[in-house]
Amino acid sequence: MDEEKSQSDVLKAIEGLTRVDPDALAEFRRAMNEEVIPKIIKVVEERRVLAAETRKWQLKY
Amino acid sequence: MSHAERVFQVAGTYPVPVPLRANDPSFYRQLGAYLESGLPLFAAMSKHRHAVAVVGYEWRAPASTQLKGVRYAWDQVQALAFVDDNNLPYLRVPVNGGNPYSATDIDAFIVALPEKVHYPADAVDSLAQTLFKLAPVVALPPEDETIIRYFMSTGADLRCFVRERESEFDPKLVATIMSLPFAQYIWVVEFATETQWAVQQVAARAVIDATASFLEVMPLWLMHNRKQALVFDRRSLDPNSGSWALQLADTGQAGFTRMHRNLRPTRTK
Repeated sequence: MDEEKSQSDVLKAIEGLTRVDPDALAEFRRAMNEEVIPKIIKVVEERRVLAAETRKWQLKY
Repeated sequence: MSHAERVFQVAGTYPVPVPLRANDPSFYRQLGAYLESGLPLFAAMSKHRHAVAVVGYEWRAPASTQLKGVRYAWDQVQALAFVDDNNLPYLRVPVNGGNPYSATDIDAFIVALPEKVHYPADAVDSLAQTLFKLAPVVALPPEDETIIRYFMSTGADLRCFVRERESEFDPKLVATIMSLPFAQYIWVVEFATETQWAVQQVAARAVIDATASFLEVMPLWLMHNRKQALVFDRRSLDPNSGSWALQLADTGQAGFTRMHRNLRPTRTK
């Protein structure tokens, strides 16, 4: 795909942008997929279970 | 904590309870980050069977250390400001060794986030360390010499901050920041050396979409230092084809001004 056509309109207005070699981002993407995201899924799931419990309680005014 | 969280929900807010888990050094870093974002916290101290509101913080005086490893803004915090019904109106609470409390007695807190914020501080804490893996594109200080600070802000506030300090930035970077269609809420991650921290400067900055899903591999809008920037087209479905590099002209500054826009640190009188 032509580089110019693949840029969104917003980025087209920025002069000097060049495509990043995907290999330069590979190690970051691996760490996100294998370390960061699984870790945060676990934490958020713990929170969801805790919140689901408390939402069963009726608060009295 | 569960009861308190329920009260926050009924009050129409979006509370996130954050308990101190075993072997989790990020707990106090998250607490500090939310606080620096201008969000007061409901904090519990189980050992005192007591809860307080945490409303402020105070930096320690800059000092050079021989410590190795990545450090965080929390490591630079000297004390927190509590609103405690037993010690009104405000109580300065040192991080360690305080009487009647220490900040590290807190073992859970609740933060009431804006509805649109889906990317929690836990995720930012992990992501911030992972950003060192982008060093081939945007160089950062050596990990061992870096202090990481992260906090939430708005895209509009970042633009305002950059506009006020325009001379620090390459005009192309200013244009980029003014053009990017940031979500309303962003996380800002700042990387500073110890020397830069002492003079309230940073070496590099990353801007993360606070409304992103925590399942996103590339939740970034922008990352830059003085010479390079990585710009992400968040409307692109393919993170590889949506990643762009920008070479910047060095403006000769030793660093960028640290961004203090939300809750400013308190100073002991």
